[in-house]
Amino acid sequence: MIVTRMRPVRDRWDAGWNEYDRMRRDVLRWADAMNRGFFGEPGFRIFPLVNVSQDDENFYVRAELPGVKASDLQLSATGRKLSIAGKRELPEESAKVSYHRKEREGGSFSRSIELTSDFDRDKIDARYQNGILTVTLPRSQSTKPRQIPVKTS
Amino acid sequence: MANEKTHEIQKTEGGTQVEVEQTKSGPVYLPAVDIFEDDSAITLVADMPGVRPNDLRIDLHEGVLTLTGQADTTEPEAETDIFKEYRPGQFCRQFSLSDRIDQDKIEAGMTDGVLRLVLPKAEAQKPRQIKVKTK
Repeated sequence: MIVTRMRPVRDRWDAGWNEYDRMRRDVLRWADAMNRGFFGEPGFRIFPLVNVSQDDENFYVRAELPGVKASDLQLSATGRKLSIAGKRELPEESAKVSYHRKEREGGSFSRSIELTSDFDRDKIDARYQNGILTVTLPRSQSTKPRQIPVKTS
Repeated sequence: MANEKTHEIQKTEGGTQVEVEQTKSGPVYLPAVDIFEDDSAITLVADMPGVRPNDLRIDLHEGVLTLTGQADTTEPEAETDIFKEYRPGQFCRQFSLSDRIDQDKIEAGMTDGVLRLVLPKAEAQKPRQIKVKTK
């Protein structure tokens, strides 16, 4: 997310390219806003929604995947990238039923997340519970924060 | 969590306004649902990721069905966010039901963050075959 501290001074017309650039940015921002929900979270076109957090030991990637079987999930890690792919299959209901509402969607999905530093690819742990996937990626030794004692003499 | 709603007054599917008490702070999400019906029951399927079976409340009162579930997606405090696309909150949605439901036989199951609610129709509401006699 880009956070601007203050609005830039409106470009003057004689700064031609700047004006073009500003318009381009405005259009992109508008297009982005259209794809977002009320709270500025990404809209429904992005699936699954992902949260990424960290502590001193690990990175945590959590994804909302309701109704996805653990066996239908494929996780892979290459370099600093973690890919989550899979298929959400909605069980077929009997042909006799009539639908009042059909809002849930099934199908294939895939997303990849690039982390800011290296992680230990051999020790990744993934758990699926209550429709939430939690992937724990241990930081590599070299990227773990180290306490540096301050000596006084 | 496709659609969000923060209004304290929620519109029910049937169009009546019903007060929804907000017991916990945080956003209120509208779960995506499938609703289908056959001769014997109405079935409702709702996506509620992060809701444990114990944190779900299902209420049926005067023909209004209310689903409320607290999503347990709060992260441990030691963690700092890098980026966040969903936030802990509450799922809530109301439906007004036209058919009489046999309240004693309602069945609810929650697996992998998906609620499946079977609302059997009361005997009197089931369609009856009427035989036409010919002389």
